[in-house]
Amino acid sequence: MFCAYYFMIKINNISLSYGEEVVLDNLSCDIPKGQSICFWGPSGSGKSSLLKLLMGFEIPSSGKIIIDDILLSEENINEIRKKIGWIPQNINLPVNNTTELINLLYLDKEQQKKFRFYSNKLELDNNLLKKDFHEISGGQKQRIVIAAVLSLDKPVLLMDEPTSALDTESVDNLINLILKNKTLTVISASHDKKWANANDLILHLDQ
Amino acid sequence: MKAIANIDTIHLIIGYSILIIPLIIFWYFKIKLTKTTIIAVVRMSIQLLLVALYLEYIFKLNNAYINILWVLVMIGVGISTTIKRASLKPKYFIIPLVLALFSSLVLIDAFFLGIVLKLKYVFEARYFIPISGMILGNAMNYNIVGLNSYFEGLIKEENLYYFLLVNTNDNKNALLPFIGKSIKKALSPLIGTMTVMGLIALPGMMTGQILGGSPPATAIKYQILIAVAIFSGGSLNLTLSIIFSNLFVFDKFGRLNRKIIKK
Repeated sequence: MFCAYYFMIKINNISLSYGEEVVLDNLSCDIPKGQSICFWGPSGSGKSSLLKLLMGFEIPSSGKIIIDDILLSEENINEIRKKIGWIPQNINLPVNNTTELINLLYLDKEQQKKFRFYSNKLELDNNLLKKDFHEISGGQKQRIVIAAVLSLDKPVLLMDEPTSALDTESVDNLINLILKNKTLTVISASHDKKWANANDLILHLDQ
Repeated sequence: MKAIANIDTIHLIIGYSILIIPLIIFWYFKIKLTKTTIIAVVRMSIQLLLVALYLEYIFKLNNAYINILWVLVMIGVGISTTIKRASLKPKYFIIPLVLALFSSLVLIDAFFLGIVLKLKYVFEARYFIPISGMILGNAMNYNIVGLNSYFEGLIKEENLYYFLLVNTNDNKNALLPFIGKSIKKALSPLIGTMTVMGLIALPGMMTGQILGGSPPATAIKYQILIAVAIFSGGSLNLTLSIIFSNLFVFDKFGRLNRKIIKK
């Protein structure tokens, strides 16, 4: 029997250094389409840098990255970013409420429908979505941002510490919504064991 | 209308003595501004004295080439001051700021001197030099505030910029919040000044014209036009400065070169 994976992301012999400090040394990793992988490791092990490499915000000293058969390069960076949704850990949004966030991300009518769907799945009710951001908790704001990025409908989702502001119930909801969704290729960096264990793959990074 | 009262040298020196008030405040509250203030006042006095001497000749000559050269010198000084005060590195900003300031000034001068004031000779020294100077001086101040806020914002809020760049996949969309914030920060003081102009603030140009013997109605019309020209020129110059600078400070991956700002 022949079984072939389509690798959505191929990381080949990547090294990254900041001056003398080597952050990643000759790392290789292939991530099949629809699978989830969690980068796991202590602070400073290069988890966030690896996410930045995948978006072209860090440039490797050697090696190459291929996303959906496109080589990550100066020429292809816009094509690559079209495929990626990005949820950072800490973000100081210049907006006061959900409507302004929707405008900031230029969500069209179809995407706004999807936003309502994902908000519902993440237990964000209409009353909460009408509130100003200063009236809601960090976890609720985090879930609104996640719903907004999911509604962009990109095939690859990158997340940095996605559960850092969430309670246990919200983490379960997020696992069911994102990690059980086999159309998305999800790459995250996390310290949360529950989240990491729910991924298809865990990549341990040492300091 | 009576001629303006002249200020003799002794009374000019007496006039300076009022500076004792801020200097006492700095001394009493241990604010380290005394040296900077004294240098600023001495520089201002020498510069204005030289300008008075130059302008006497320049106004008499009224030669278009010399007038343009004078304005170009003002542009050069304005840009070097902007780069220095906004803590920017010259090699990245000289070209974009020259292009921005030059094109803003040409447009605003052509509109106000040529169309609104209907001057047959737009390079006439007594209009071209002071009006260009006022536009340039104010545009420089807005640029210092605006560019500093823009680039510091991009460096401090890098996460937000990357979030928008990836998720909207559009460089313009990613920069819009930063551009909007810096323009708002730079221009808000002038909007505030225009709102209370005539009530709380009596503008220097209008006061100067009235002291110089112009009828208040004429002085007010000039003041209105100058305020509008300064606001339009300042906003155009800042916007163009940001747009042109963006061509020099981002790499092809959309990453901001952090070396553009002096530490």
